[in-house]
Amino acid sequence: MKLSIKTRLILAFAVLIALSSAIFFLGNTNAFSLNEQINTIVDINVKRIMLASKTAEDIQFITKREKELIFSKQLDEIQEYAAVIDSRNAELQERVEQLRSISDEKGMEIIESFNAKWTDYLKVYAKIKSLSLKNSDSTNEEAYALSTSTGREAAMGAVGIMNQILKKNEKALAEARVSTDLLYDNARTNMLIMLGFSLVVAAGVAWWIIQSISKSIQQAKEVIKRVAEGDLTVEISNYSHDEIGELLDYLKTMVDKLKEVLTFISTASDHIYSASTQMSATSQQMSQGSQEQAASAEQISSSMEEMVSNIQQNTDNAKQTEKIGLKAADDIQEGSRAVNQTVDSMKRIAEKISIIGEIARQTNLLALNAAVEAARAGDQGRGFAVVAAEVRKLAERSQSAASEINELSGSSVSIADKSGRLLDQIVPNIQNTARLVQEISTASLEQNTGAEQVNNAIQQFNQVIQQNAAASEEMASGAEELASQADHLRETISFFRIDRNQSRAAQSSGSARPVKRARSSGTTVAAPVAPAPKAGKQRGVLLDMGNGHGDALDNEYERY
Amino acid sequence: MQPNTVTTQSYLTFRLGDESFAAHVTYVLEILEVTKITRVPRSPEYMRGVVNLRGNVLPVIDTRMKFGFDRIEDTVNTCIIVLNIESEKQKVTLGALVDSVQEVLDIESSRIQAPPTLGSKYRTEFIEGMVKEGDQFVMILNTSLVFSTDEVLMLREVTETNAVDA
Repeated sequence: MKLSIKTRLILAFAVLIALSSAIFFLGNTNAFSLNEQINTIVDINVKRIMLASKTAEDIQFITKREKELIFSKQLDEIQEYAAVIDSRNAELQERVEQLRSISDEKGMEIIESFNAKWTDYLKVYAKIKSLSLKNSDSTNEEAYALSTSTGREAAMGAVGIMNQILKKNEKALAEARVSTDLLYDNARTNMLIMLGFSLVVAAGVAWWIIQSISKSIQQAKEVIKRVAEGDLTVEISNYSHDEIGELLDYLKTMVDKLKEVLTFISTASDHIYSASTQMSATSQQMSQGSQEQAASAEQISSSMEEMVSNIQQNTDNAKQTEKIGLKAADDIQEGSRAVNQTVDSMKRIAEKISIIGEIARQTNLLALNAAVEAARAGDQGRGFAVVAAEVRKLAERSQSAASEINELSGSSVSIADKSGRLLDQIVPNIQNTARLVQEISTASLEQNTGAEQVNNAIQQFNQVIQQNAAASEEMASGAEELASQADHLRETISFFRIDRNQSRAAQSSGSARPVKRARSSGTTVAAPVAPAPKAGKQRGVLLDMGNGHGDALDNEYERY
Repeated sequence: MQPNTVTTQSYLTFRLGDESFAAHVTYVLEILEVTKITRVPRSPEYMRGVVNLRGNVLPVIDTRMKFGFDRIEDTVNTCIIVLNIESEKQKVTLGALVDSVQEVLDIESSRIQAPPTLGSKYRTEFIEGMVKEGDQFVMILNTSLVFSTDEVLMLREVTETNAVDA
């Protein structure tokens, strides 16, 4: 049935309200007719009875006064009685009129007959009255006779008629009683039937609603109970189409989401676990590295010490070199002066030699002239020509020797000059060198302080490295803690049973590792706080360690 | 000119650049060092000027220029050969500026070869012959022909007028 609980409740209450309305209508109808009857009784019958009895009373009163009027001797008393009788008569007339107004046809006839009787009496009364006014014994007797005869007869007749009316109405009342009793009986029966029907219908509707709602709730209860126990494999289908069904629909969505989230968490915790294990190893490596670094820093520090002493030595050497350089500059200046003197001497020698060369050349010319003269002299000059030729040859030789010496001295001069120049050039260079060496010595001093600073820095560096080592060890332990937390998380999650495929993947990844760790507990791996076998105790986790089902999945993980 | 005897003749050899030349000693009066040479205005280019030779004016000819060589600066070896040229017309004494004077050579007439007729850079009529001395040739100049042209005569006139002026 595809009715929601709301619709069902509305339907049930509508039916019940309709039944109640029917009962009310029935009761109301009966009460109305009863009321009608009572109104008739009160407004007509009872009033008639009252009016009739009052009228009879009036007649009694009037007849009594009439007697007193007859027997009264005093005129004013008579007048007074007459007035009373008249007023009472008026009341009577009025009552009769009222009675007439509420009478049926039969009653009308009765009233007419009463009126006739009463008119008769009034005529008699008029006579009596006029007789009484005469106020004599005879008239009084006559009046009395009249009163007791015709008057009484008429009055009695009227009273009898009134009594007739009374009786008639009493009879009507008795009839009314019978009819109301009947009405009441009918109404009660009808009402009882209606009530019975209503009870049956209400019970049916209530049973139907309770049944359907409780069935839905039962279904939902089963499902929710299983979910509460962590079983997410529960099939949520074939549920009813009411609000509970909707609720279950949402629950299904929630369970699906939960499954996704749990799968994700499971994978993530696996990752965290492996990552933290890796991190732990890395941190330990880092710690080792830091220790090595510290050792290296120590080495560097000692090297720096050595360097500082070297620098000190350099400074000393530089100072010495500076002194030597300055002395060398002085010496070279001396040497330069000596060379310059040498150059001067050589130049003088060259001058002298050139004089010799000049002399040789002139001698050569003279010899040539002599030779020419001798040649011109012919055979006579032959001997002289030989001498002239010899002289010329000697002159030529001395000339060539002089020119050779000249050349040599020239080249010597130029060389010496060059040496002097070079020495002169060397002097500022050496002075420069001395200055530079001085700078080097200053720089070495600075270097010394710098090296000391470097040494200090290395000490600080060393401290930092030590701290790093400690920190990385802390990190390693932190990573181990993280791994154990991830394991714990996995255990916690394993409370939930997910789909077979997913759950197996999750469980195998969750459980394979601790198992392996348990197997390889003897190896060097720094197994973090490993609560491996605890997982087996958790409810909802189905560890399958014995048979080889998990091996294919286990193979995905590295064995170490 | 000279007696036609096949004997040895004496020649004064001198150098112009790398070439050696020879002049018969009969023309040579003496050899002078280069002293101050007075330039003569409006004289030809090969005319170096005049020098005072023991009171006489001696015109000096730049032999390099005369032979059409490039002019070079004088050195200590540069000499003036005082020549005495006798032509049919007259007798002229002049100085020839040469790069250096070498020696007086005795050359046998038989060793003298005829000068080449073609391809020479000198006018061949100025060269009497060539003789091989050592590893090079010495060109024997026809001295009177070289220095007895009209130009030389004109030179003489120039020097004489200048001498008068001086």
